[in-house]
Amino acid sequence: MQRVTLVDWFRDFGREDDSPYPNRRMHTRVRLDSEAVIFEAVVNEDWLDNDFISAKLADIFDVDPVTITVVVSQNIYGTMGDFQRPAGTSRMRLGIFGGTNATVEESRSSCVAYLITYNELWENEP
Amino acid sequence: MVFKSPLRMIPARRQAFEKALGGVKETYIDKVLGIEPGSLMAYYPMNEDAGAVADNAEGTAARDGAYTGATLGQPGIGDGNTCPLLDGSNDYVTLPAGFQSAWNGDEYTLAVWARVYNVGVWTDSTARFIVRVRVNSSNQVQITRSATNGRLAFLCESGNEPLTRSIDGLSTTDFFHIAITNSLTDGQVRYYYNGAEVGAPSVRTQAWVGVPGTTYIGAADNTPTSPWYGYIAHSGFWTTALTPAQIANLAVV
Repeated sequence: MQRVTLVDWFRDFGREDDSPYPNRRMHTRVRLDSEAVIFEAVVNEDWLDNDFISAKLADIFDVDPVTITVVVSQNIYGTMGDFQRPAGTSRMRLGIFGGTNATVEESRSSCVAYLITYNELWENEP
Repeated sequence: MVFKSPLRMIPARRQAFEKALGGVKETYIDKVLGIEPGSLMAYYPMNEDAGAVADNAEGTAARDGAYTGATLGQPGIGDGNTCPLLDGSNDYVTLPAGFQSAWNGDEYTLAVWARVYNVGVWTDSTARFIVRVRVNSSNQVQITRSATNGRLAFLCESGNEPLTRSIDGLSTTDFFHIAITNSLTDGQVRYYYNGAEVGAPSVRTQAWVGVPGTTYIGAADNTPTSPWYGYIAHSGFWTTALTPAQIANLAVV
């Protein structure tokens, strides 16, 4: 239930979902185990902030935002934020393909590279 | 009198053959063949001037690779041998079933020379594969030019335990040497760039599961997806983790 709530909230990140240009709208892809979602959208960069997201999570789940810890790491596909509550217990991981300073093309290409590496987890056909 | 091709001889016999001809100073190929020869699984000098076969200089013909679209006979790493140019669109090298069945995912080294076609390859925001050995998303190893500009990315995954390392800020248009050594016994994965280790070793705890069915040099698959745009030479694969000193030696022409 919490996962559905989060997905619905992330869908609001898309700023141009009513754009006449399909590439500007939000697109999603769900992992086959339903444990993860990839979003592609035009987003407000100010929202890609750990404090902003922590505050929103606190608001959604009615908890004190100071109880949410964010651990940021880098991997070969981009930046990953691990939102924990309490500290040490991972509740949600949010990654940005290509990292926070990536161009649109870098981010897209990083996502494609990730999907190539893990294709059977995300696609039904090889 | 018919001579068996020197390239088909096992390394020790080949060296004796060349010595009988009057002596040849050690070449780069000889050097590779002389490093842990008992654990050398496959070695592709990629120095052919024509044809579709990437000869396995280790000697097992069943592990010969197959070129698709590559332009052979290009200037190599400076050892007197040529190498192929992969055009970043249609070109790659397929490693066969004989390679796949010999692969040891628990103890291995892969080492290769590569060079981008031009400096723009580092900044074209396109992921490109240099080498890939894969069973599935839980058991795979790959070295890629990452989608992030200027970055090389190493991924070693065994038993769903992904271990990664990256090198940033690259813009070289020279050949560079890259290698991974991986040992479940030692519990370590090491990453190398031009003979120097990149960061501390990763800790490995999980066993490799399965026989790889996706094995390529220069692309992710035979579509080809994410093909390399540039040159690749002297691709070597061992069923043991070479030492840092051995890797450093391989990185010297």
